[in-house]
Amino acid sequence: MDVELPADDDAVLTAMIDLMRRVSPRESVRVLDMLSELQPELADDLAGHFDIKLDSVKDEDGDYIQCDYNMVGTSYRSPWSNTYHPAIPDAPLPSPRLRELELVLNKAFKVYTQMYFGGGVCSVFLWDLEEEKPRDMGFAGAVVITSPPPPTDAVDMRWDSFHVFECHERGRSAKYKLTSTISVFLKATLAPVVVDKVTSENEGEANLCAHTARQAEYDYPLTTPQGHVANIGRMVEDME
Amino acid sequence: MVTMNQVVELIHLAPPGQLKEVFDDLSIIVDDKEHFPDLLKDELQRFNRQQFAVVQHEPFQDVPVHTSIISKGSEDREHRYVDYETERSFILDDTTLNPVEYAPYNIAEGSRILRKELEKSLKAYVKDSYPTGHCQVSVSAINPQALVLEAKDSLDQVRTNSEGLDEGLNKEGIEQTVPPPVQTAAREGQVGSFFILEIVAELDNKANFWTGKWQSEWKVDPTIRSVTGRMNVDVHYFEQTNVRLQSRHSIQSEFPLRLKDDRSIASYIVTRVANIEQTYHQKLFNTICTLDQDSLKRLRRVLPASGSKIDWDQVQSDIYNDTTLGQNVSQIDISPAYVYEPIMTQTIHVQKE
Repeated sequence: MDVELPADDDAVLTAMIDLMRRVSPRESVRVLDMLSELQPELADDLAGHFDIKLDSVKDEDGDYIQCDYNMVGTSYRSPWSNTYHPAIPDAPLPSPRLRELELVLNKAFKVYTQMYFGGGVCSVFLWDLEEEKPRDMGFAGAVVITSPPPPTDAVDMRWDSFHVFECHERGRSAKYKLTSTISVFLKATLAPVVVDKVTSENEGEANLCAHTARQAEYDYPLTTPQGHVANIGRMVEDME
Repeated sequence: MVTMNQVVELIHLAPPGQLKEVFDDLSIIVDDKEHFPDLLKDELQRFNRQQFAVVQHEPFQDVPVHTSIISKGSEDREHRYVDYETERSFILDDTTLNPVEYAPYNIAEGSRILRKELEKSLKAYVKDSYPTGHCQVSVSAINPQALVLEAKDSLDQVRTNSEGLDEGLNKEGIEQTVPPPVQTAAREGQVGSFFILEIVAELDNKANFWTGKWQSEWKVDPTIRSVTGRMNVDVHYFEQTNVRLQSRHSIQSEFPLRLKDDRSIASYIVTRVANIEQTYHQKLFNTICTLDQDSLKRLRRVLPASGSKIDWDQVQSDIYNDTTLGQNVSQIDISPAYVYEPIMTQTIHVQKE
């Protein structure tokens, strides 16, 4: 994934990453889009550093997330139906055995988001990796979560998380390399109030937002091929 | 299509004390080296005014080294800024923050004493409450009739000057409908001078991964005894993360009619400002604690309602064993947020300690 960039491009990419780390997380998607448009040839590299952009959509397949990890061109693959919307010929799909795992993971994480967020949308996307020994399964995936909309207007809040991992099976165990990015947005609106006879507050707000990225490695036993579900579940629960 | 203007506007996203870093990043990112510096210079002018840039002045006559605040309040119509300590105006180099080309500046006689009293009180308060604070009291004269004439004149000028430049005309025209905030022509006896009290305090603790800023502005109009103000707080914390707190608040208040002499008016107003700021500080602190402790937990529970972590082995085997359940899961209508009754109680198995 790491591309050797000419010295100039390298400096530009470094500057863009630095800028992205300074602007408020509330502005970062907008800034990311601008920078990508300014330097289209570096857009993918830049996006690879910032897992921040997602949309949740509802269609006949159910709720799922649209993000870089299920995008081909301008189409997105639904993790429920395994088809692209809008349809696109020859788009990549996970291998059948990985697809089965993907579907089960999507169901399992539906449970997870219900338990922790009381709703929201979570999508899991998997893709195959080439392994040296053909018997070992190697794959990568992304667990992407967005919280449900808040119930009242008093506090506007959102939780977005990306858990991107690589998994390599080694006999009866599996190694998972995880990179997680969690974005939290909290905004309290302070309603106008009369303080005393002569003083009144017009309006006010407090905005608190955060991006945090963490990396971790997990070694879990893997006695059956299905064991990935529990392993990935534990890993994400632990990280969040 | 991203315009160069949009790019230079990104400097306004710089966290407190990090303009230089953002500036440097943008200079590297932008290809257009021809137009960029000029556009950036214009934007820096706006940035310095909005952010209350602090300018240091060398000793002058018997006034030692001192500072003044760059703002709309201290700007005159010729885009010069006023240094009230030495009663001079100057031009600002927006890139280096160096003041140049000083010229004498007349403060309207009628406002002079009250301004000085306000400054004395405000300085004492700021010294007490803001370890790195700077403050300033500007005088602004409003004479509604003069303003209208002023606006009309300016509009006429804009129209003749920028013939054929529709965009420029519209932009300037709109700006001119807003009364210019500062009138240098403040003369003795002129109706309705008002005062602008400004406070700015910036803390730069990059060694411990945070920078922060307080900014407040209070407009005091003695003729209608009104005080209106706004306060801004901006904090950036960045140790292996990017956390930003931004808050703003605006307030209006008035002071009693019985205050007659300048000293008691000044003292009353600054006490009032101090009280409001203290209240806001406390309120903001409480709000953040609520956001952090209460709201965040409502957003994502620390543990599921069951009180323990998810039994993933059970979830796994349930899904593999029960295909219909699996289908149901994908069809579930998410119940209203924050109702933490697990819908699929049959699939959730609590780990018993």
